[in-house]
This record gives sequence, C-alpha cells and structure tokens, in this order.
Amino acid sequence: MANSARFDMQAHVRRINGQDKVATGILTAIVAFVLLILAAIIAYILVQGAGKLFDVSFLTGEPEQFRAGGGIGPELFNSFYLLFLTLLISVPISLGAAIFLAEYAPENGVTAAAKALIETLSSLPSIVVGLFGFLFFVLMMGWGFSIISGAIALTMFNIPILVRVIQQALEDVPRSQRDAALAMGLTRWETTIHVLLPVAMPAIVTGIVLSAGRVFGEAAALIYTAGQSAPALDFTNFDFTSPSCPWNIFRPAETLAVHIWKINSEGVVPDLEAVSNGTAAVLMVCILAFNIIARLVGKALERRLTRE
Amino acid sequence: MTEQNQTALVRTRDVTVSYNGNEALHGTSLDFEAGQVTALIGPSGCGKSTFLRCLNLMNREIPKCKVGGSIFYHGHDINTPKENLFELRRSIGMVFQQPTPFRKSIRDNILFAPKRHKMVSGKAEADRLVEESLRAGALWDEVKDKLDQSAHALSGGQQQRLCIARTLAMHPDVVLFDEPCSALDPISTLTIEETIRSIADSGICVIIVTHNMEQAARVSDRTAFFYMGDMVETGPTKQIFSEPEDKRLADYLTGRFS
Repeated sequence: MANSARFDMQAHVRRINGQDKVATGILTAIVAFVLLILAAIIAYILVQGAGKLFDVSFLTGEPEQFRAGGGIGPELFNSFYLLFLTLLISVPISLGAAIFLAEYAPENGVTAAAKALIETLSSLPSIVVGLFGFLFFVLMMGWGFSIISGAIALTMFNIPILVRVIQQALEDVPRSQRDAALAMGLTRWETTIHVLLPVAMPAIVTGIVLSAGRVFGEAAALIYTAGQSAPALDFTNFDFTSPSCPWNIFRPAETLAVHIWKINSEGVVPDLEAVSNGTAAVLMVCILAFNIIARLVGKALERRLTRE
Repeated sequence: MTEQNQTALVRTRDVTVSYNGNEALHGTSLDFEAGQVTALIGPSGCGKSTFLRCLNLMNREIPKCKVGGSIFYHGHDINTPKENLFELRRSIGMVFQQPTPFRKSIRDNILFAPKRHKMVSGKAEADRLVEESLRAGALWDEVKDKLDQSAHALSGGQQQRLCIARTLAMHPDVVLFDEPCSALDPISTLTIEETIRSIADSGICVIIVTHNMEQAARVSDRTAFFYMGDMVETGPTKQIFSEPEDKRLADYLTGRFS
C-alpha cells in the first residue's frame, strides 16, 4: 500500500465513538428541554385550573357578567357544537378534494398551482381568516355573529390541513395495491373507495381528530365570526329562530378559547383569574383527549383492518 | 410468429411504447395461443415488462406513456381509445411481482372483483367460486378453515397464490404474470410454476415475464427474448435455449450479461 502516513485505527475509533456520544448527548438534552417546557406548561395549566376542573356548577353553569362564580356551560356546548358543524362541512369537502388531487388530477400546471395554494392556505394566520369571515359572512351575507359564520370560517381554516393529511394518506398506499385493483377491471372510483380508502383510513381518522383539536382551541378566527357573547341556552327550546335554542345556527356563540381571551382582555368579574384558569384547564383536557382518541382510534382501525 | 397465424388469441403488430417521447419498446409483433405458456425473457430494462403491460392496457395508467401499433384480442384491435378497459381487464388477468392482497379477508379478496362485476349472486354461488378459485390457485387446502381471516396473515408465497386465485375467479382467458416469483422462496416458486402449467392446461393463454431462465425453460412452451427495447428472437422454448440464432441471445443464455 502506498499509504505512507500510518493510519491509527484505534485513535480513529475512539474519536468517532466520542463524536457519537457527544451527538447523542446533545440531542437527548434538546429533546429533554423541549419536553420539560411542554410538561411544565401542561402541569401549570392543570394545577391552576384543577379546582374548577371537577366543579359541576362551573362546567354547566351560566357565565356571570359582574359577579363571581360564573360557569362555562354554554361555552363548553358551543365549542363542541361548532366543532361538530365544522367537521360536518370540512370533512366531506376535504375528502373529495384530496381524492381528486391524489387519484385523478393530471400532472400539470393547474394541479401544481392548486397544491401550492393549499400549502399557502394551511399557513394562513387565523386572524386573517377571522377578519375575512367577519367581512364576508357576518356583514355581506348578513349572517351576523353566528355559529354558521364561525363554522364556515373554521372550515376555511381546516380544509387545507385536512386535504394535505388525507392526500398524504392516500399517496402512502403502495402503488401495487392500485395497480392490482385496476388490473382486475375496477374503475378508479371503485379502487379508491374499496381498496385505497380502507388502507388509508387509520391515517385519515388520526388526521381528522388531530385537526379537531386545532379547531377546538381556535380563538382568533372566531372572535369576529361566532362572536363573543354566549346567550343562555335552554335545551328544551326547539324554536330554531330563538337565540336560546342551542341548535340555532344563527345565534352568536362564544367558545372556550374565545371566552379565555375575552375575560382576560375585558372581563370585570372578581374571580376573573379562577374562571380563566379553569376554562384553560378544561380546554386543555379536551384537546389532550382528542390526541389520545386519535391514537386509540387509529390503532384500533389499523388492527381491525389488518385482523389476523 | 408469422402473419398467416390468424387464430392466436392475442396478436400484437408493431407495438411500440414511449415514455415522455422516448421509445422504450420498438415495433414488437408476437402471437400468443390459448393453452400455451409464453415466456418473455431478457435483461433488466429490456422492455419485456413494458410489453406485458400493453396487453391489458395497464400502460394507460402511467402518465405520458404512449402505446402505438395494434394489439388484437379475439381478432379485434384493443389499442384504441374507445376500448372498454374494465371489460377487457376482466378477461385478461394480471399477477404482479409483489403479492398484492387487499386489506380484506381471504374470501373477500377472491370475491371482491367478481362482486363488483356482478359475476356472482347468492351465497352458494359465492362459496363455490371461492373454493374453485382457491383450488385452481393451489391454496384451498391451506386456507379452507380460515377464509375469513385477513389475507395479510398469509406467507408471501400463499399471498401470491391468493393473487393468482383472485385473478382466476374472474374466469379470464388470458393471464399475464409479471415476474411472479421474484419475491418468493424456491419451494413457493415451484408450487407457482406448477399452478402456471395447470392454468395453461385448462386452456388459458399464459404470458409470463421472468428474468429466471430456468423458470422460462421449465414452464413455457414458447419464449421471446427482448434486448434494449427490441424483441430479438422468438420460437419454441426448446429451440430458443438449445439453438439460439441471434448472438445477443446466445450471449445472454451463457451469462455474458444479465
């Protein structure tokens, strides 16, 4: 060998082993730091709001304007109702758009532009969506501060995210599955519905539930669309034009996240801090629950679909 | 492979395939008879799989892929825009390199396409089709007690036999195999080769792409050799392997390149 400089193998091994150890240590420290911050935030919110978290009168009671002891009953209901309506509108649209983009769209400039547009929309600041909703749905369409204005604003904010998740889930299905179905004389539609969607379903469901968490915690897009007031709700009222009818989609509806924002910015109740902390804790528990449900449902579906 | 052979079930004339304007397969004319196994051999990238995918018009699923020339099936040219792909692929089945069971039970894997094509009605008929297809795919004895289990629980070789059975369930008269054994162990490979023989013996026209020359010699009646997008030589398998005419084929057979 013409290698004149003697190569010290042992020193080299020591050096690369050392590098490996240092890199592992640094990466572990970064992850630990991030997790610590997250855990601290979650613990702080839960501890601060713990007193209210199991207080039934807080969870079901009406909010107070000036006195202490107000609850978040309507806000809690509004948050779930708004989430339900948002998903009802956004899931079918996103599913259709994602199937089109993943399975049908020809590879051309228009498709590329549509994909770029969806990327942009998914990072649109939610306050911009909210202000657009205010101008368009609240004022121009004349729907006022209402659940429907809020639900459509949230839909605009949710669709790009859902489309990306579903499209990715469909594209992750191996090409061979698609070919096998097409080679059996099935149409693209039959292939998508009966072969691809079942395979992609766990990822799709997980994506939908995670997006639900984002929608549930959204405040900025709702302040000027669903409004900042929570009329008292009467669950025996089925007059769909009455503001106290819970199902009336044209009534204003303050959600949990908006409630936190509002009492902190203009609240005058004496127990402001306790109400705000309690609401935050409830919101956080709901979102944690969404994340856990997403995992469980995704896993359960995966197991069911690949049952052995 | 002569013009006067008008009786062959599948006949191709000057078939060309180009991707994005680059011709990957040059004018290929071959005939395929019912009841025979034809092997398409050649080195990687020679155009054999590309040619196979013309026969059930699968190349139409690839963007920017153009197929020229004529493909006669039962005497009429299927390489026309108005050909009904869904009808055609019912009677020209295809088995792929990787086993591709659907995420369904064994029974539903068999019944899925026939049901979509409204070829079965009633439970008795469905059960009969499942048994008949699995027997034809040489899988029945191994799975008859677990038809409702996921097809993904089967071994690789069993999954591939399921894919064959699933194809046969549609009663095709042509079955295309695209390197069906390249992901399998030797024992599974032998089982599948026997199945391929018996499929042809039942009167089906079988066309198999393989890079395994022993396999071609074992299962096929006729062989066609492809090289760099050209169909170089074709003839009875014995003749192709014992007296190759073209130097490229002779070199390939003796392992000068692969």
